[in-house]
Amino acid sequence: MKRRDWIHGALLTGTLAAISGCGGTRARYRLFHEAEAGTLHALLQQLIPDDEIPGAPGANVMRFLDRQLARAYSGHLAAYRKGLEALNQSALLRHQAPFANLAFEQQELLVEGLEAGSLPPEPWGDLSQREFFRTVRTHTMQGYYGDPRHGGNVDAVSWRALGVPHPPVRGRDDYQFPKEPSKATAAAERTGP
Amino acid sequence: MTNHDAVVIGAGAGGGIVAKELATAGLNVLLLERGKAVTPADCRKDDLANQRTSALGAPFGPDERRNPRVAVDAKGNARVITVRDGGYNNNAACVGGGTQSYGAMAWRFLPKDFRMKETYGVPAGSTLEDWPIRYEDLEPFYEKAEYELGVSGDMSADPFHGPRRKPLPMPPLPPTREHEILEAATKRMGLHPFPIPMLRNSVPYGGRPPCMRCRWCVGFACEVDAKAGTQNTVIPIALSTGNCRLETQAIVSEITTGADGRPDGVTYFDARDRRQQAKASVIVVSGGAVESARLLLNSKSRLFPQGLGNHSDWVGRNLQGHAYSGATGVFPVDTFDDLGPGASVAVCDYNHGNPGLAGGALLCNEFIRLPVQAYNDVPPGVRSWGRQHKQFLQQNYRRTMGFRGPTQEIPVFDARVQVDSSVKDHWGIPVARLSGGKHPHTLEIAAAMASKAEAVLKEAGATQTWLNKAGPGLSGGQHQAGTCRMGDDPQTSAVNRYCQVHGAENVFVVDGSVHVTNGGFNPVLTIMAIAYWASDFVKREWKGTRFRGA
Repeated sequence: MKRRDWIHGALLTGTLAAISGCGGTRARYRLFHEAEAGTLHALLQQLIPDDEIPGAPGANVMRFLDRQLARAYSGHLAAYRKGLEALNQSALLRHQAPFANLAFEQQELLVEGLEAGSLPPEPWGDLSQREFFRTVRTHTMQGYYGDPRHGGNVDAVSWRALGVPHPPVRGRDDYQFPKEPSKATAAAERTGP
Repeated sequence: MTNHDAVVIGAGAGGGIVAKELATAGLNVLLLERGKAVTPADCRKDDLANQRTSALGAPFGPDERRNPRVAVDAKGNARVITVRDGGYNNNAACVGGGTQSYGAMAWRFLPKDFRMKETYGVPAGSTLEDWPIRYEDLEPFYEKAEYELGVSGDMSADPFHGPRRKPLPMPPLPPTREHEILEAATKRMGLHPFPIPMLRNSVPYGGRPPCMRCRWCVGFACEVDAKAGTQNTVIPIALSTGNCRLETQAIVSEITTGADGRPDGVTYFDARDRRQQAKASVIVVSGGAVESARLLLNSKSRLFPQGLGNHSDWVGRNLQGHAYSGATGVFPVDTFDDLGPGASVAVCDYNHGNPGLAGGALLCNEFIRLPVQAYNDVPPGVRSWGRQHKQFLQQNYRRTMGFRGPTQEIPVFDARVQVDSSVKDHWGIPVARLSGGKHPHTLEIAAAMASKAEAVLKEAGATQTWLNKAGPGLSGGQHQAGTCRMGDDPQTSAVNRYCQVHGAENVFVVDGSVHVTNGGFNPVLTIMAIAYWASDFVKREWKGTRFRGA
């Protein structure tokens, strides 16, 4: 497959996932309903856009977040739900359309407002816009630049774009990896409780 | 209940060495570690779940569900936090402690680092003080740590270090591309670059192989056991004597006192959460600066109603780590060669002698920054998200180099560890409550160090540079120190020069807690040297079946 085709495919899949839920009766994500997924997908496209190289949407950071918000990030799930809804409301207030349906430049201005904490406060209640932005940005960067095993950075796409050899080259050739536990561990197991 | 000559609480840099020294001297030692044993196979190369970047977890502990802490911010708001929160100031909880997953820099402090008050006077609002011991007292014990655990490097090009009797036992690793660029640049500036000493094999040593130079180093367990920690050096020796029993997942709740009011052992919860008692003639607290202070403060008794050793309110005070500062630069050519561990070349020209500043820092290049550690380090003017951010990283990741160092902190009395009786851990023990921040002069020194580092990067050919300055918040983390200060005067310190708790001579604190000041260096080799120094005292005072006076 040519690289361009692959990227196109990735973009298409992501878009379909976001806007139509075309997979039939099964939800695509465990945690997000379709409207939330659409808003989040558009937000990811702002944070790390798909272009010649897949960004956060193309590298499936959606899957990373869907997974980690059920695990290590679970303390943030309520803020995600509230923040995505509030971002959508902010879009409706300003443009009378959902965030996901806005033009890229309109979305960008809203995200800049979110980062600065300067969107109209009504939909946000006691949720800090700036803190919500920081949280989603941090998680998105971790999903995109982090290890593919966690669900994002599909095919190590961000690492290859940075020029980081994957799998790692150094240190692989000269060593037999120890199969036995180290002396300390073996001793600890002998003498432990 | 079990009976021992000595119980050592914490199997990290300090406790591992004490256990080995006492066990080989014939004492019956119980070594209690709250974490688990970790093996080289636990490296896992997970860039989001390690002791350096714990976004998805801290696999070498402590268990985040069971070990909350309370952090108090600058406005006085307290909140309960977990291990993955930066404010937790985590180190590790496993056999080997921080030495299992550290970067393994093996610095001796400089002679002046022990005489900070004498050298600079006391900045207003600080508790800066001289150590009761000098570099010369520790020199033989530094050497012992370098040889018993194994340090590679070559100090001959560094004119600033204190007198030493022997060279390091192993040569340095061959230089990286960053090393060659920075060595040439610092020499042109008249500075004195040299290879960073490391508790890391460059050749086979101690039955372990040399470093394979991978990028999974700081934050990870070494896959080939080339890093020397206490878990693969002194602790196996302690266990092989037959005199030392290591018990993991043992949570010490309190140092107990006998009918005469004297400390006589510990109570702890074992791996199945059963309460256990161990009696011992000598009690060594080596839990790290946060947990050691917490244990002393939680050990209240008739003679020590404010906590063990806390009669003059110095336990938990002066918490300090390092104010890491430096600069990052973008170069016209690739500087990234993927040759681990990354950190390689240092200068000590700026540790002291900076006009108007009470100290300084070593400056060196960095461990390999994994991509997930690089995304926040972009220059001012590059937005932290969007297409520009993405493209900046893609164009510059392999051409970016950092130069920075651990600025020595000016101690502050109110940077402290307390216990919070309203928040308990899984075992019902009051947790550590962390509050306070850095001294303003620490930030001035750190800012100056950042500028020095930037000048080096510019001389090295960077086309764009920017500063990374330390913030004002509390620092402890992996370099945590200071909370049980060593001193001759019981009114202004917690332990004496041999790490003996004032007023409780059979209780010792042996870890970074006793540091009066924390040097402009990674502190682990000093912790190790002090562990040998204190052990030497215990062995000399041991009277066959009991500790003198106990």
